[in-house]
Amino acid sequence: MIEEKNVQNQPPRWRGVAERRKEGPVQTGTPARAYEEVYTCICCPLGCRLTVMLQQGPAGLDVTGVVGYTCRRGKDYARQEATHPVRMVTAAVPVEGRLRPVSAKTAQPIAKDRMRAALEEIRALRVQPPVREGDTLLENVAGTGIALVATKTVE
Amino acid sequence: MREYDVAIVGAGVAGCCTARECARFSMNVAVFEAGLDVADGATRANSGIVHAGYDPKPGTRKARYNVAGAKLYPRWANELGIPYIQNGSMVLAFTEDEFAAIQGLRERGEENGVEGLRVIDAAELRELEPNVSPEALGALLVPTGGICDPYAVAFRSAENAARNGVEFHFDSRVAAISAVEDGGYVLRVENVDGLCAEAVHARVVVNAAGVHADEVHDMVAPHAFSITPRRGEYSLMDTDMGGLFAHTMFQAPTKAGKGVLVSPTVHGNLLVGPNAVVQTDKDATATTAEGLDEIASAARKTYPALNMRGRITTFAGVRATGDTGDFEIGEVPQAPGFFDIACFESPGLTSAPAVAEDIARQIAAKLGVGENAQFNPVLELQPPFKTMGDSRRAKAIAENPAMGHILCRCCEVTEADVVAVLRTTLPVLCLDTLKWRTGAMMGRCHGGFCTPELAKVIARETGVSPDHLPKRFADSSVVAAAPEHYADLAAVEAAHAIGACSCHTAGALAPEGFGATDYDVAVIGGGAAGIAAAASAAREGARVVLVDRESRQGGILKQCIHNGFGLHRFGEELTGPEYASRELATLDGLAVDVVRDASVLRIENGLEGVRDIAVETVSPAGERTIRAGAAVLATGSRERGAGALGTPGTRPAGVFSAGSAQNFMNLQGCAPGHEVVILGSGDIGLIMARRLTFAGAHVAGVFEINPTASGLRRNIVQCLDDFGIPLHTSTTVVGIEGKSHLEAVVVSKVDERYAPIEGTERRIPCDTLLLSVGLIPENALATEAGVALDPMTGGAIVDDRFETSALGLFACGNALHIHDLVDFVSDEGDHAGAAAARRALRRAVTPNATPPATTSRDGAVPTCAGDGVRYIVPQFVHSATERVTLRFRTSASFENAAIVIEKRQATGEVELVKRRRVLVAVPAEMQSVALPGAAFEGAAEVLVRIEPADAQGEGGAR
Repeated sequence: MIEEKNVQNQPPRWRGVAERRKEGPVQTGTPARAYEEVYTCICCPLGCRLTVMLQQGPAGLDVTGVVGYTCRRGKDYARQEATHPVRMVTAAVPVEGRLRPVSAKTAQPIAKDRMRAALEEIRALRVQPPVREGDTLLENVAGTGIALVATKTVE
Repeated sequence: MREYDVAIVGAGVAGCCTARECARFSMNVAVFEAGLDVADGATRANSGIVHAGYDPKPGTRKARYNVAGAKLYPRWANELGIPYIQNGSMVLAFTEDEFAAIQGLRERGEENGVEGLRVIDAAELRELEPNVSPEALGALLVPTGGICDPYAVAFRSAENAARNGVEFHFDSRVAAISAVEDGGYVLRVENVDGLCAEAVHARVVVNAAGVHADEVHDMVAPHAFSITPRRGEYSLMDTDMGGLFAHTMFQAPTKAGKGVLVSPTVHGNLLVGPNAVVQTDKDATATTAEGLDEIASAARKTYPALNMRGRITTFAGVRATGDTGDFEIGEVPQAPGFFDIACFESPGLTSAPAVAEDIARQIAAKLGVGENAQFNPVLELQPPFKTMGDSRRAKAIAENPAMGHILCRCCEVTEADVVAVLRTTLPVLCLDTLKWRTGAMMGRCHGGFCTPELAKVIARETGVSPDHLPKRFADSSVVAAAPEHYADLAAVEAAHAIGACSCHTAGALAPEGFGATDYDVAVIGGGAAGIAAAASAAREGARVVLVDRESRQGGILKQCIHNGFGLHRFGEELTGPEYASRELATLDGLAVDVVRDASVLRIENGLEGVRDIAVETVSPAGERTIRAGAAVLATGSRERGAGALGTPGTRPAGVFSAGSAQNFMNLQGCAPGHEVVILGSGDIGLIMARRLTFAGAHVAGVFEINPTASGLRRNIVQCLDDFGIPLHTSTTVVGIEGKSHLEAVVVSKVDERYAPIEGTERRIPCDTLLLSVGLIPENALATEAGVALDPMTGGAIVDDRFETSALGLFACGNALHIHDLVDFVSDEGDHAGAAAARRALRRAVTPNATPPATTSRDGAVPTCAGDGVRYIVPQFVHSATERVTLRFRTSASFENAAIVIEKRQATGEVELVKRRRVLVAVPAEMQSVALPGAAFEGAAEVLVRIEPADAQGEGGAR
């Protein structure tokens, strides 16, 4: 569908780099694979271009290095994106008997791979007025343990 | 079968005027109209000219009815309240041949009975019309030419007819007519789906079927004429261009027609057009890129400085051009009782009243009926708010508070105006009808702000929710889905707004001795900028009034339910509503009065007294002129709309400005559509791509005309990449398809001059198009108050105290320049509010001096945008100011660059003030540099420029 790739809009891609043998005790079975992921930091408008070096370790994905960040938040974001990407989910929830929906957000960012399930749960949600800013609308969104809270008051 | 004396086919200007004239007699009359409104065809899409009559060939019906009709217009306008101005017209001559031709026109006009025609030379022409092209050699001056509102001619005639007993049937296409043995005709009437066929009988039929009049004629009589549809395209310019010409300016006619005109309209706009292009489809009203370009260049012959930037909409009308060269009017010999009003192209609009009188009399004579003693020729509609004078307004609002609640602020249309239109005899069956009958949605923002508000009022009054409300044609709707019981919910919301919060909430600690209209600082606009300004001014010790047009404050933040706000101001990321809530909370305990549902009509400065600024407000509580010692303009911005873009094609339902769609979704729980294309990669468009995806819609792509994205990088990642929504740069929408509802858009790649590259067009089926193509600072009030605007920002020219060129008027927020971070907006509000308060409180101790209207820029140092910088705010700085924040945007993307701030001394010497390295600087992200004012000591000018990476070896000062 897309005729050409656009630099601003490249999803993180796997740039296979030459395999490197890890020094030290060699794990049996799977050879260690090292590769890079590139992200645009979203923490602030700078949008630093972050490169994360990763290695497939025995216990999962290990971050072996991060370059391109200007601040701590960027470095942390890069690690997070590469290993456990999370997103804030915001939504407008219908309020019974009211035209105005109540806007809501997850209290914390939730795992990116739970977003779809979270949205389905939220779509099924109906709320009774009055609802106040800060009220909990859902205790545990899509099993993440994170709540959905109201961000405005609808009387 | 229903029986009528007269059945009129078509509710265009011919049918409506004839209906009215028929109502003078004792006859049963019904009008059958295929569309949902009167004037559905050419009547609403023409030049609106009441021609004097010099153009038609003498002896023709065109000539006779043109002149007779023109003579009737003043009386009809008076009786029916039709907007009509006899402004006079001119036919310009640019060559000697044309000069000879207009002499011919004068002679022809005199033969037709037109009075006052005179040929004028270049000198007199220029005196009368200083803006006309210097190339014009002279003109034919036509004093009896006029302009009118053609929709109003049809509507008011029809409403008058309806009140006098005429029936109007909409969505009622006459599919077949057959003559009946004992006289009269049977008409088969169908709705848009071809269903609900009904047969009616009428003794007399009037064929006023516009472009289809030849087909209707052929239903009952031998073929006598053929109608060829000829499209005429137009561009309508904003009211700030309406004063360029007083007369309607024609060019010497050619074989194709009267040529392209440039004319003021009765509503104060400037109209440009039409061309004349034969087309095959009789009903197609799509504009074309070639056509719009054609009329623009032709119009430049008359007005060389014509700039499409002032355009607010485009449209096309289809003329019914007959092959006989004349109107075909009268009883058809082979079909007794069947009257044609056909081939009714120009001068049809002008001729309609005269034709109507004639035909009605002929019909009455044929049927042998007498006059209707009950007939009332006068139509009285509730006068709209904008036409009322002050005293009348005050009374009207006292009687009906909704008269003070402005819904369409670009055109000053109030809730009471809208309700009155919804209650006329003729029904309102689609959103466009409301637009045409109130003027709402026809102004600068072209419905961007007010459409969601109007949808609620329509639902409350008629019970029709926006997912069942057609936009213009029967098989369309304004939105795809709306909450169940929308109409009831809208009524509940309105009741809450009136009940829960009164218009006026008094702030705390109000000092003694102030009347309800006297304040230190008046803040106009209750969004992020205004709230911060009000709080800040109050903390400085001022008594503040905050005037906001909505029931709930917070401005656009209320609908920005996504997060990303407040990181700088609060150190945490909040959603828009939370940010608004926090900011509003800062008003608690402060001396700030909040006036809600209130619009500001006018601001004036430089008046006598301590409070030298007057702010005229109107709200359901009444009209009030506030006097203040300073005012802060925090009026925000509006979206650039479909009309301003002038995308060729049709104008179907399903096209939204991104903010409008956001309002429908987040404040009304509606779904705009299912298959979405977004034009513009501004932040609003990106946010909506995600929002729509969350709601289950499919976003086919985001298209951006520039080579780089306009919005924040984080939004590209979080709104597009996360969902695999493609972003296509250097691509734009070049066509819109779909008659009643959007069916597809055509996109095309563009080159570096934004011209479409041939062969790269792609058709994308969709039902929703969102436009995120730019925000425009809202400064109509500012301009009227004499505030000088910066053409680069579209906002006021200010100093580091945010004071504009109008003394005592301050500006901040999106009204000043378009921001990407609301934190900066609030910061500007803080400073502007404090500065305004200081000014007002200073004035309070010098009560007798009447200040000049203009701010002195003595001692202020101008800032200058150098290489790589698009604009800077403020445009002036003072070395005495403790801390000055320069905010600017780069004109291109830079990596590893340096922001260089220099000052040029009076001697010419340039000295470095500050140098700051930036890893990345893009136009989409506003830069902000704070400096002590003292750094500008002794400067004649401050220069801000970007030093690209490769130039950095050169070092600091030059």
